[in-house]
Amino acid sequence: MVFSSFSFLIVFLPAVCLCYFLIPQRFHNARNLVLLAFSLFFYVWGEAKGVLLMLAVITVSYGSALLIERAGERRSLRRLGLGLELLACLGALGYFKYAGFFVRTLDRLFPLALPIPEIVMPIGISFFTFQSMSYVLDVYRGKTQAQRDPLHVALYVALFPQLVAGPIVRYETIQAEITERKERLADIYDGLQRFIMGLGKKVLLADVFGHEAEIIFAMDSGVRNAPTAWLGAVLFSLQIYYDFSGYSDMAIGLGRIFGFHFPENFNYPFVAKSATEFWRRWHITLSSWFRDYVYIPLGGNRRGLPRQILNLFVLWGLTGLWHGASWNYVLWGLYFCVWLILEKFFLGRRLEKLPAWLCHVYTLFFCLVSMVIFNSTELSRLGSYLSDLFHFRGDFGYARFVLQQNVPEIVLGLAICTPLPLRLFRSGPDKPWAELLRCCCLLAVLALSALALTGSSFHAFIYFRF
Amino acid sequence: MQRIKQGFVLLLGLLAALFLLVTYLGRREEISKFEYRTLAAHPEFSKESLLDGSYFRGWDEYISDHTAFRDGMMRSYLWLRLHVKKQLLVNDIIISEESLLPYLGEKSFGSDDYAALGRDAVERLEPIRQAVEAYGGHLLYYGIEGQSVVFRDGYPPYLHTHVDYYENCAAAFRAALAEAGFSTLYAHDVFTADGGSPKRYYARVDHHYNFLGAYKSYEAICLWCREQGMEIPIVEQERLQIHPSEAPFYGAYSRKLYGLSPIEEPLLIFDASVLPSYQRWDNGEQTDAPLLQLPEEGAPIYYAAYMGGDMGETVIQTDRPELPSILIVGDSYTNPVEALCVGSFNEIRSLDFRHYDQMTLTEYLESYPADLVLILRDSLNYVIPGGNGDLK
Repeated sequence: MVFSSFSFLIVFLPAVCLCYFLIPQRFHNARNLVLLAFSLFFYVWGEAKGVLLMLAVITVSYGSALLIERAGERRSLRRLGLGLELLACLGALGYFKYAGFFVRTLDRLFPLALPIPEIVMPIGISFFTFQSMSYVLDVYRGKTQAQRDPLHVALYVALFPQLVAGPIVRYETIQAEITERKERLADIYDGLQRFIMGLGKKVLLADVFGHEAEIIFAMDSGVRNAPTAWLGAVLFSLQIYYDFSGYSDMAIGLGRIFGFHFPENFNYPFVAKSATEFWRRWHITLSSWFRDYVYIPLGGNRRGLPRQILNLFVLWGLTGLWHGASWNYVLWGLYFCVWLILEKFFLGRRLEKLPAWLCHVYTLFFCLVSMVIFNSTELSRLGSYLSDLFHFRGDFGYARFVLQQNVPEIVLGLAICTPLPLRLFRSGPDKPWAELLRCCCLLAVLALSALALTGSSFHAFIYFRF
Repeated sequence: MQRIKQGFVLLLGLLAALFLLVTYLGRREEISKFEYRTLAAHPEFSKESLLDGSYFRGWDEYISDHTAFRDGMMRSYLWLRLHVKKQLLVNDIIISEESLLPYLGEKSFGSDDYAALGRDAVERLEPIRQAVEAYGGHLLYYGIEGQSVVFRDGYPPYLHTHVDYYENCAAAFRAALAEAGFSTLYAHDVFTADGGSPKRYYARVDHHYNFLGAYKSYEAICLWCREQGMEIPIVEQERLQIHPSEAPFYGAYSRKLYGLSPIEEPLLIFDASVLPSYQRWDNGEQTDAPLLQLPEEGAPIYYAAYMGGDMGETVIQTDRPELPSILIVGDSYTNPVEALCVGSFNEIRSLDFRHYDQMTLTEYLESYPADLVLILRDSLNYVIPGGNGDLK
């Protein structure tokens, strides 16, 4: 089930809210049980088989954390606990997400005629395994205590708002809220506002940009000229940003409704003035996860320059691979790795001397190219797209049509990339009429989102090849 | 401030409840007349459907298709797109000044070896010709330019019309037909014989010709039959009293705009009572279905009014043994021509191989050697195999 569906909006969400808030606040465990039951149902709705895997991961995480804690000073037992957890999570990821990819790659490198396994990847596996690992790793490092109540661990991993697309929440962030939280009207109100904004981002912007970007990326190289190719890159970048940040907004908003405070995942990445800053603003919970659980344990920048560079390559190769089992994601990660290394060791000081607008242009240019890599699962098509970016011929072509079709979305999409519109929205006097105005704006976004959602369900019977 | 927050939360709760209630209690439509499709049915539970995910996917589709106020919301969304955003392309329909047109996509179509495409398509027809010639019948190929070809000048210049592909395919196919010695007639020649524009004979909100175009085609086919020595009557245009329908016409394109099409036109209908009486069988079942099916009062009319829409097989007998028989092969373009042929032939059969799969055409001809076999196809489909493009 996705948040931007009528099943979620008019059936699931009202049902979970009703069941949850009908239980008096003092019965926390009962409220938690309701949340857990609905979270499992939410997952079963999208992936009935995968729920067993998720429950297995939860069980192993619960047991491993307890084993580590009870092992005390016995290092071998502690390592056994951690090993079990890593084996379960990385094994599940390796099998369900990467087995087909690795076998296909092996088969291409060495023509062994290997049977390619057809494995269906459970929804959200990258998120719930990463959350589980962070919990057990934190217990191992002594940063947090093992949770005695298995239902609390299950709720932490399976909590439906962040279950399938993040943000990747650390256990310590919501540990206290799992056992004791207060659902206040102000939180519910803020949560609903945030949810509606996220829904609008997803339905009114990301889906529109995605539709156009898909057409442009699917074009034959001869048809796509440079303006169209650049527009495609811009639209895809906006699509992925609004899709992902919209989903994060919805998750954060839903969490807030039930009294949880999830971390922010995006902070206007397209206003960054360097790659380093971009990654401080883009998918924050993932980059901090990799920093804390991969880069720093590998030695980070503490073991000399060659080792640091190696660590960066490992970090970014894995970051790329996390995004999908395809070489273009690895290439995308390594592209950022090289870019970040260049910035760190060569460009950093020079960039500081440049005017701010030039830094923005520089960062956007390389970001757009990175998005082309991200969206090209076939490497041959990547080559033709990159060459189209610099192949100036003819007029504006299809780009003109896309601009004509989507003026409001493109203007709004570019504007909301910057903090200014939200600042304007939240500024204004602390008066009832201003709050009322904000509510009306949000209701308009909700109404437009509902219309767009209905519009997306239009499926004319195709009986004729035009 | 607290009250506003409470009111906002309460309002959203009430809205959700209202939607849920109306969705649950509201009248269930089974068919969407605008999308021309069956709406999703209630999913059936089974262990398999639960495990393979189809059960809940079915619920997603069901809820999406039966959400409260769906048609109204769809229409409102289209209104915004048409009148506020002023989009040229809505629900895959291009809105030009003269007509509605299909969006053809930006991706190039298949092969560009047009000569081979044309040759292959004609080779697929060759067994039919041999079969017809073997029993001494006549075979005629009647080609019609697609509506989007005739109104091509309505496309914005920056959209891909695939003109090269369609023109080259059509030219190659016609050349291959001529080289192989097939008897052919082309609607373009028929429609422009008086020097006028072929646009007169096409619907502006649908992908077919209009009834005048169908009549002109029927007349040309009958005249060709007479040239071959078949003595057949031709129903005169005046007798048919061709006139616009009162019911609003939902063409294949205009219905996608939910009644908000800036271009409207009526469906041309005719007086079917001037045609002789007949007996009719659809897909083997005898039926009293009329040649022209008018809708109930207040309901819209579709192109499917002609003959009741597409059938795998239709058999019509007029009990006039002195007249020849005709077998018409093709898709929905054949429907109004089939109705008109009732005035000129003794037995009329039509096959649509998108729906008919009991025999191949050559097998069918063995059991039913029609005096005239008419293959009637539009230019967009000349070289496309499958369905009516793969006759054996």
